[in-house]
Amino acid sequence: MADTTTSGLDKEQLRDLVADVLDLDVAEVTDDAHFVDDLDVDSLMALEITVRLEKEYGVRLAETELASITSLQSTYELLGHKLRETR
Amino acid sequence: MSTRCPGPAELAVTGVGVVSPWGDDPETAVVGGSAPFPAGEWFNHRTRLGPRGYKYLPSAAQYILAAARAAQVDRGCPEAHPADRRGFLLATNAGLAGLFDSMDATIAAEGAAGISPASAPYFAVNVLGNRLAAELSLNGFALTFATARTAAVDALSTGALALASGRCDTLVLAAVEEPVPDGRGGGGEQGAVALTLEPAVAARARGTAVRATLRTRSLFVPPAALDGAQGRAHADRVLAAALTQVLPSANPPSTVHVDLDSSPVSAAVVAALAGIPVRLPEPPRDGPYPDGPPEDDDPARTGRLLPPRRIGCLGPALAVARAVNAAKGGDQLVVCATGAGHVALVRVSPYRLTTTQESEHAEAA
Repeated sequence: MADTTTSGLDKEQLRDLVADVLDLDVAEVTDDAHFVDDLDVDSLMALEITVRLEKEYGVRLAETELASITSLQSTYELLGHKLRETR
Repeated sequence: MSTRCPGPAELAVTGVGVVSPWGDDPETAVVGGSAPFPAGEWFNHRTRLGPRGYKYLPSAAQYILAAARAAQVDRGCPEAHPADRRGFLLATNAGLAGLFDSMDATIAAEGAAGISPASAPYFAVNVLGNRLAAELSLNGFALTFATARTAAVDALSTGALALASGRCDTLVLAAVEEPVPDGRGGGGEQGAVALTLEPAVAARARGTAVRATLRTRSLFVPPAALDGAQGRAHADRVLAAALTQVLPSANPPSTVHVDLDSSPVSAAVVAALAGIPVRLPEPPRDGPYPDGPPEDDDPARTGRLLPPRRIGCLGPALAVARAVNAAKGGDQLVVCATGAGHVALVRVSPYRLTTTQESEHAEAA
């Protein structure tokens, strides 16, 4: 069963999106893999993730919130929070 | 600090790499058609470059990486020199034209925030070569040439001066084009050529395999000067002097590949070549010249119509690659010119010991 928050956010869809943006196999994007330390994400790719999240989920991410995008799990929690806020 | 003023040095080509939709052999690539191929249909960056890390590179950046790797496989060896002694020359006119158009469309529709951050740096054309320079540690210097049609040969001329003045010990030249959207500028070209270069004397001293030697010259013929008899006579003298610089008098070229348009500048170049048998570019495979024959051409004299104006630098670069690969036969001359006044010449000589020795003496003199 898909892992979703009350916002309806599907974690596996998010995993697929992050893997696509980072040009990685989906299996490499584990819940706790650190984007910078484990997946070699640099500042440009971090911005790319942000822009894709904003487009895909229709949210606006403040600069202060970008620091939370460090892993799939933290991104999932941030997005879930943002989506609940907008409803 | 060097105080001498170097002339055009003899360049040694140590490796050649070609990437094109019509195959990676210069012989087939040089006569390719002009119809654009969607990049993903003929060039898979995962199989050509590696499974990861190349997704966000513009197609043109992917092509030059593949071409440069092919030049390395062809025994080009820039890594034989320290990284800070390796130079990089990028030639392109429309390599990023499609990306620029898509950025414009995105900004118009969504604003600047809609542009992919990974693609945004490529709004500057010179960034196109960054990944190649980084992968091959070409840390000495980097120059980008964007002159219509003559950029690749202009780059060779500048590279010869850089090597002669001691600014670097080796050079990688990458010429690349992508089709221009909507067929602008004649539709453009597609693919890449990479050459690894060293001074001929140094290459021989190092014992490396030399594919061919080159001598180049770029010059400017002001189009307005050709309006009067005096200006035309001066242009004739300048062009004749340039040909003399490039061609050894004892060895007329066996083949001359001309890449001209229907302008008065090109007509002056043709006049300067009088007496030398000329090989015109092959017509595109996908049909006759799409814009119709040029008005000023004289098919009775040339035997074949000149092509319409093209802006890409790939045609002359592929002609050089083909001449290098010819290996046998005499010298070949590649000539390109545009109505804007840019003229570039390069003589390609199959490598032979006597040529290098003669060149050494000439350079020493």
